[in-house]
This record gives sequence, C-alpha cells and structure tokens, in this order.
Amino acid sequence: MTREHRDLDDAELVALYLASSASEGTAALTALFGRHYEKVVTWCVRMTGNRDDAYDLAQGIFLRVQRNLASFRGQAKFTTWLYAIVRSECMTFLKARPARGERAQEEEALEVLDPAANADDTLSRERSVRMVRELIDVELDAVEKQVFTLHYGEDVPIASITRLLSLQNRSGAKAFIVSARRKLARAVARLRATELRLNPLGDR
Amino acid sequence: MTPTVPRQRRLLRKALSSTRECATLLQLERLGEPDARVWEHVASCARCQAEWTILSAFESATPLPGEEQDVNWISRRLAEQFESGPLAKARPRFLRSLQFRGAFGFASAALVIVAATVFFLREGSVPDLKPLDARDAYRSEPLFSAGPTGDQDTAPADLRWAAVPGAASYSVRLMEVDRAEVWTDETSATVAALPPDVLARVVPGKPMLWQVTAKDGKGFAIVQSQVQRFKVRNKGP
Repeated sequence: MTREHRDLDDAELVALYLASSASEGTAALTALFGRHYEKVVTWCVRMTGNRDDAYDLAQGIFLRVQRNLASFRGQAKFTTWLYAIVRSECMTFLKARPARGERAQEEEALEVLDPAANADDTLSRERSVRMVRELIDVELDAVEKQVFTLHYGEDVPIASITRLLSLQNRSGAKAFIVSARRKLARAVARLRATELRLNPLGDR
Repeated sequence: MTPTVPRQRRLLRKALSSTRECATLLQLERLGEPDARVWEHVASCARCQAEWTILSAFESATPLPGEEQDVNWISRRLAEQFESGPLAKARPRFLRSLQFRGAFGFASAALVIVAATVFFLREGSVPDLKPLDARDAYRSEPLFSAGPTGDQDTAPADLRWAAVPGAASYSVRLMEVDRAEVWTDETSATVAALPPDVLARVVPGKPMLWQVTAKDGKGFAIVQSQVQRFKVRNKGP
C-alpha cells in the first residue's frame, strides 16, 4: 500500500478505484480490501465453522463487492455497505446448506410461544405475532434477543451464532435459546391465565 | 418434534422479521448521533436491537486465538488473488489442496488436468476458466464518456460529456473527494461551465469528483455516468 493510499479513507479509495486506470485501480482496490480482509474473513470463519467454506464464502463476498463498488454512494460508511453484502451472502450460504446435506442439527421442539394457539383467523394470528414480538422485547435480555433473532428470524445454526457472538459459556447459544424459551413460556402462561380470568368462557 | 413446531417457528419468524418501521442499516449506523430519529422504534424492537449489535460485532470482528490461523490463511490467499489484478474464479476445492513440484509434480498436474477435463465433459458442465476482467466486472452502471478526468495542467473551465439518446436534460454534480457537494447544475446542453467561485475551489493538488445524470423529458434519470475524478497538477517550484 502506498502512502497516498494510506492517507485516503474507504470512500476515497472507492472513488479512486472507479476513476482510475486498470493498474491504479487495482492498487486502490488492494488497499481497500486489505483493510477489511480480517473482519470479513473472521465473520466467515465464524459463520461456517470451517476453513474451506469460509474461504469460498469470503471470496464470493469480495467478488460481489468488487462488482458492485460503483453502487457505493458514500452515504453510509463503507463497512456498513460491506456488512449488507456480507449479511446477504451469508444468508445465501446458509440457505444452500440443507441442499448439501448439512442441515442444522440442533432443531428442537418448541413447546410454547403461541398465545393464540387455537386461532385460525388472520386477525388472531396477527395478534399472536404482535404479542410474541412484545414478549420477546420485554422478557428477553440483550443476548437472548440476538440469539433468537439470528436463530428463529434468520435460520442461523446455533453453532454459528455461538461463534458470531463470541459466546464463551459452555453450551454457547443453546443455553440462551433454552433460557429465552423458558421466559417466554412463563410469560405466555401468565397471559393465558389472565385472559382466562377476564374471559372464563374462552370466547375470542 | 411436536406437530405444532412448524406453526410456532413460522410465528417466531414473523415476529422477528423486519417491519416497515424497522431501521435501515444506514439508520442503525447513525444510532449514536444526537439527532437519530429511530431510537424510539429501536428501543422497543428486539430485531433492530439485535441487528445493531450484530453490525457493531461485525465492525469490530477480530480473530480469536483459535481462529487466527484460518483467518490469516484465507486473507493471504484473497490478497494474492486481488493483487494480481483481473480476478480469476476460484479453483475447485479438490485442486486447491494439491501442491505440484518438480517433474513428478508436472506429470501429476497434467494427469489431474486431463482427469478434470474428462470429469467436467462427462458431467456436461464445462468450467468457466476465462478470467473476469477487473474493469468490466464492476461497471454495472451504464457509462457515457465525460471529461475532464485525470491530471490537468489548469483548472477546467467546464465539464463536458457525450449526448445521451433520449435525454432532455442533464444534472451535473461537482464534489470533493469525500463526496461533499461543491456545485450542481441542470442543463439541456452537454457542457456546464464552472462559475468563478467554484473554480476558485479547484486548487492544485486537490482531487475533485464529478458525475452527470441524463434525464428524460419528465425529469426521471435514465443513465448516470461513472464518478469522474480530476486534479490540477501542482506547479513546480
């Protein structure tokens, strides 16, 4: 990396890359990517759990970044723009895993969590969604929310979540899933009991 | 697994998916700023809170002791690939792990190439070995020629570009290198003269960026140039 490149911020390197000749552009790209390899590759290693998959994933990410640099407008930080691509490529990678016979093994029964379990109409289902959203926000702590969002919202395997969030406890993200489910189960039970007291005939 | 699991999983997925009120990544990035308007929503949205934390975790991601070796290995290989200019596609994984040395290595390599060729032909899937051209790869936007670009002896009096078929007007922006807007103009011509007060800001050694957008008769953008860059050379002593 030249001194000139060191003095430029990410957005300036992108602008330089886009406006330069091929050789100068490559130098700017090298400088730009050199700043972000560690972060992106670390993320990929944590997401995949093995070197070969992480390499393929990281390579796909930087290829996509290179191809789309012209769409970087500099409104967001480059790392935020980069994260959007990393996130999207990681989700594509995870979706492809079941096809490779690598479906997450940690699937467990969900025993609770539907405040309107017998409801079939759309209104009640919408109500359930809203209530679960509120319960998650009120009942869970920060790490439980992150684990829940990644696992149930994005289908990220528990082992990947443990690595991504650098969870150091013995059973990793699984412990947070278990504790979160317990909290939600208690909250749903409380809700049902309250509803039953207010509406003993159970009509909805 | 109980029969209700798919239903409950769907419920959770919906409860944890983003809504119209959820913050964009750009808004999350600016959450620390005093005038952030999305705090109210984020404060009561588990998904946004999680997304914000995960974005922060990504930005500060550094390898743990057990990850360093893999991260360094991959980073080195990526750097080698991208430093060599035009980016070639990844080698198949089974080739990546092989090392070829000496005459035996040459014979082994030839054997592997023959075997791979037979394999791919049999599978009816010919690998695309043509390297991508780095300059073509990222030019996803339409391009039309525009000047000035590169180093200039004097500050350019105007910005010029080629006419775009169907364009009724052009919007041109002059920016500093951090994309702060210096000057804009709307014109139906294919040239925009830089006013004296703008020219005064185009000083030797300072890179300037500019971009022109062609618009149709209704004012909708139809094509945009790449960001152009120019600089007035520093004068010698």
